[in-house]
Amino acid sequence: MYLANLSEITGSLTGRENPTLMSEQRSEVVEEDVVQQEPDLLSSALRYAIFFVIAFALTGVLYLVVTNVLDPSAPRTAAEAQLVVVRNAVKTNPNSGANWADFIRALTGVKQYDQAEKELENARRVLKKSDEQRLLIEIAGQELLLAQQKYQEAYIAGNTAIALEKKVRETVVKEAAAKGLRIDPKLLGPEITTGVYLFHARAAGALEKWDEAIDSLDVAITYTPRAANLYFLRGDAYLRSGDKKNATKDFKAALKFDPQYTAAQVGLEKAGESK
Amino acid sequence: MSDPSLEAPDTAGLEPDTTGHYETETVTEVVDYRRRHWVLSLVLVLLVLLLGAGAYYVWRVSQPVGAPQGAEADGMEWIRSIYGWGELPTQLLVSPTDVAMAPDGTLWTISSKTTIVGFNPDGSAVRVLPFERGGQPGQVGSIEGLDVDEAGNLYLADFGLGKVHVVSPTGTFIREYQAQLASEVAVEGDRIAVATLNGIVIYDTQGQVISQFGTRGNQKDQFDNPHGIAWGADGNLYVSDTLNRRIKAYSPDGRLIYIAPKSMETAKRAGVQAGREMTGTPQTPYQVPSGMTRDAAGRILLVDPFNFSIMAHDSKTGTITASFGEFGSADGMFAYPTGMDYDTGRDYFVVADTANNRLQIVRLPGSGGNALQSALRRLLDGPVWLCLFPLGLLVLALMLWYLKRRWRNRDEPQHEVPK
Repeated sequence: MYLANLSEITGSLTGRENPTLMSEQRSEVVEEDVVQQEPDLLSSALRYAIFFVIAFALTGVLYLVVTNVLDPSAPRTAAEAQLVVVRNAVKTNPNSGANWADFIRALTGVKQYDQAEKELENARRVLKKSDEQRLLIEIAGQELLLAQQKYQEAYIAGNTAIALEKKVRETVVKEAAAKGLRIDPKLLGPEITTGVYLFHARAAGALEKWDEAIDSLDVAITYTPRAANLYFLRGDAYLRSGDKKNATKDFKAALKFDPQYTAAQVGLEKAGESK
Repeated sequence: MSDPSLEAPDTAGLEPDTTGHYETETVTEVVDYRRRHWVLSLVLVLLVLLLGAGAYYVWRVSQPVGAPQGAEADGMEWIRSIYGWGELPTQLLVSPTDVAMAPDGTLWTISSKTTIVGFNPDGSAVRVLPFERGGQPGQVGSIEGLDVDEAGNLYLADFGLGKVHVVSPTGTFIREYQAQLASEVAVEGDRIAVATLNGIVIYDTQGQVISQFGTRGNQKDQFDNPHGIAWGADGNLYVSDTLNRRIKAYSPDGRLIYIAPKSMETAKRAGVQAGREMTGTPQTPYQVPSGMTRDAAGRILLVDPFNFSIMAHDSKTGTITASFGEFGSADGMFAYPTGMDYDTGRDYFVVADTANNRLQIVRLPGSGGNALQSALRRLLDGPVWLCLFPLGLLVLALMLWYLKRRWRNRDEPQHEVPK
C-alpha cells in the first residue's frame, strides 16, 4: 500500500508538473506517511505476534488439560496396557517380588530406563526384609543393566545376585531341615537360578570374560537342561574362547532342541562343521 | 561511518525527478521501510518455526509408549488401540465381541457381554453403560453383537435372552425385538437385520418382521451360527455363515445371489453335517468367518478369528481380494478378532480384537474413502490439531492486521498533488 502510494506520487511527478512544487509536496507527503505508518507497521506486527504466541500457548495448555494427552487415563498400546496391568499388580500386592520384577521388566521393555531404576530402588526399599523376594527384583535389575548396555555394572550386579541366590537357597534348605524335610536344591525355583546365572553369563560375555560366562552357563544348564538358547550361548562362548570342539557340541545340542535355531546353525558353520 | 546500504540505495519502484536525481531523504526512508519489512518477515518465520517446534514436541510426547511405526508389510496401518476407559482392572475391556460406529464418530463396543462402552475417536471414553444381567426389563443376558442407527440409538443382539434391545446412547431402553439366539445385528435405514442361530430375520423399526429366511443346516439356503451380517451399498445383505465356513449374499427381497466359495458345494456333496468339525475340507479359505462390514469402496470385509485376519471381498462375486493381519498381541496384530466396523468419515476400520481385550483402529489400502476429508478428520482426532488451531489464529491475525491497515489508509486524507 505504501509503495503503491509512493509510486503513484512519484509517477505523478514525471514530466508534466512544476518540479519545485512537486518536490516539496512529495517530500512532505512521504515524510508524513513514513512518520504515521512505519512505527505502526512494526508495533502492530509485534502486537499480533504477541497475541499469536499467547493464543498458541493457551491453546496448547487447553488441549493438554482437556485431553490429558500427556497423562492418558487409559492405555493406548499393548506396552501401555502391560504397564497398567503390572503397575496394578504392584499396587495390589507390593510385597511380591514377582510383581515388582514384572513391573521393572515392563518398563525396561519400553526403554523407560530412568523410571525402571526408580522402581527398582522402590522395590529394594519395600522388599529389604525378604531376601527371597529381593532376589527376584535383582534379576530384573540385571536385565535392566544389560538393556542399558552397562555391562560392567551388570557383571557386578550378577555377582551380587549369585551370592544372594546361594544365601536364599541355603536358608530354604536349612529351614526345611529344621522341620525334618530334605529338599533337592535343584527343585527350588530352577527358573530363578537359571535367570541369575544366565544374565551373569551375558554380562561376563559382553566383557569377554569367557571362562566365567561358561561357568555360569554350566550352572544354568544344570537347572534348565532343555533350553536351546543356553546351549547356544555356551557354544558361542566356547567358540570365542577358541574351543571349537565344545562349541560344536553345544551348537548341536541347541539344534537338537530347536532345529530351526538359525544362530546355532551359523555358529556350527563358524565352528567348522555343518549340521 | 555511514550505513553501507545508503551508499547504493535500492531505487527500484522509484523514478528520478526531472533533473535525473533521486530524493536522498525519500530513498533513505524507503530503505528503512524495506528493512522493517524484513524484520517483520523474520518475526513471522520465527513464529511459524515456533509453531512447528511446539507441535512436534507435543506430537512426540503424546505418542503412546510402544506404538508401532509405519505400515505393516501387507499395507495395513495401525492408528491406535483402545484398551479401556481407565487404568483400574474394572475399567479395562474384557473380550469385546463387536464394535459399531455411530454417525457422530462415537465408537461403541461390548465388554464382558453386559457392559456397553462408547469411545471418542481419540480413544477417550464417552459413556459406560453397565447393564445388569437378568431377565427383567432393563436387564440383559449376554450381548454378542451391536449396531447403531442414524439417530445414534444402539441395537444390542442379546444371545442369552433371545432379544434385540434398542437403547438410547444414555442407556434408556426404548424397545425390544424377539430374536431367538441373536448373535449379530445390522441396521440400515429402516431395516434391521438380525443373525440368529438358524437364519436371518429382517425387522422394520417398529419391530415387525419384514422377512425371515433360512433354517439350521449346511444346505444352500441354510445357516449354521451366522456371526456376521452387513448391508451392502447395493442394498444386498451379506452374511458370514460362520460354522458352514462360507459367506452368502442375498437380495433385499431375500433371494440368494451367491455362496462363496463355490467349492463349498463339494463339502455339501460329501455330506458334511452342520455344526460338526469340517476337518479335511480345505476347499474354503475361511476358518470361522465372523463380523462383517462394508467400506467406502463397496467391498465387504470380515474378520476370521481363527485366521487372525481381516479379509476383503469383491461384493459382486464374493471373491477374496486381500487379507490383512497376523496372530500376535503387539499392536497391529490380532488374537481371535470377532467383530469390525468401518468409519466412513475417517476412513478407518475398528476391530474388536477379542482375545487381546482391546479395540484396534486400522487403515486398509483400497478402502475408497475421501482421502483429503478423512485425513483431515483423523488429524483433528489427534494431537496434531493443536497445530491447526494456532495456525488458523495466525492467518486470522494477519488478515485483521492487513484489513486494519487498509481501513486506516482509506480513512486518511488523500494527498492530492496540484496540477
